[in-house]
Amino acid sequence: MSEMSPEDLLGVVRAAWEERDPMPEGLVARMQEVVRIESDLLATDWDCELLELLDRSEELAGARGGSGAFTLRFGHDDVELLLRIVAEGGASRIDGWVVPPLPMTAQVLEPDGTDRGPTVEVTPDGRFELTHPGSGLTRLRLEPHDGDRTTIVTPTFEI
Amino acid sequence: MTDTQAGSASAASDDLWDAAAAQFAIWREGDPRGLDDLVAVMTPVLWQVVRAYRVSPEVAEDVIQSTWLALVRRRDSIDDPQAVGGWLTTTARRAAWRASSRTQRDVSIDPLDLEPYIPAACSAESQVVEGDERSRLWRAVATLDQRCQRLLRVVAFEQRPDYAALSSDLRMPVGSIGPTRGRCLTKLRTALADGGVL
Repeated sequence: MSEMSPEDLLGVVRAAWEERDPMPEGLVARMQEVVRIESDLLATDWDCELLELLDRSEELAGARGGSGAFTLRFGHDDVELLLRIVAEGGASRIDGWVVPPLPMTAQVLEPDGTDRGPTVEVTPDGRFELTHPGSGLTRLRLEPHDGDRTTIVTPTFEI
Repeated sequence: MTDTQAGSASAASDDLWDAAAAQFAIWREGDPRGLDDLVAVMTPVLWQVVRAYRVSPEVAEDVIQSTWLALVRRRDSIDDPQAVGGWLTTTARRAAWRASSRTQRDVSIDPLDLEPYIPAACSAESQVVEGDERSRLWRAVATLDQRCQRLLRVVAFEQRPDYAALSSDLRMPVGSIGPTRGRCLTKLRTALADGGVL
């Protein structure tokens, strides 16, 4: 048999990884839902800039076990948003921290952009708490009081 | 695997980029089914490219979601439909690299890392010849060091990746990517021969 060409070898690499680390079931359907919702939103007058996920870290469960807390960090231009999300025994909460701390409100949204809870004021040091954000797929909107600054919204994340 | 099969895998990959371009064009002309089909075709590729950066499945899914959201918002910035595949993989690779460089300090052990150390006897029960063949392919890939594994995985799933962009994401000088790729392929060829695949 002749020696395998580089293209043949890369074909082996593809086959090996597709077998060993396949895409999770349902990922395509979830992504189709994400783009459908976002396209629908953009077709309306929903004028928001999208935050980009910069970092995600799970907190170690430790001795108590299953703390279920994780941290998400988002960014857009000069704004950074840190969220600590705790879901424990059916209850959940979100602690947020915005840099720089501009006067603004925060609100939990459904993935399709509709409201899911009250608006809360961000404190002068950039902190806010959402005590009953619910569970499942969730987004968060930050709306500056200064009308010249754009409203920003997170991608969907799961509580 | 025979040469013919490996060859057909790469041919399928070329078809994939053409399909992505066609679906992107359909979407841009106003038919949302084009976007649905584009997501179906390209998400498996994005999964492989992002996971090459050793991020967790959760982070990989977040990165892929961000990539698709960015495409929906920046659709009009892509002039040539043929470029959409490269735009998607590059965007995802950048985000995966950023995510991996931030989380490397608290890296956990990925079960995939342990695979090369699990005795071959574990898979000896495999009665199906094809299954045994596939595990032999995997064992050959698994003998490569991490740098080779990542480089070859990215190169295998992307279409003619841009070496300049790769060099920053892989922390390698641009001039060494070509030679390293060659060395990694040679190691793989040897490992396949040692494993009796060739």
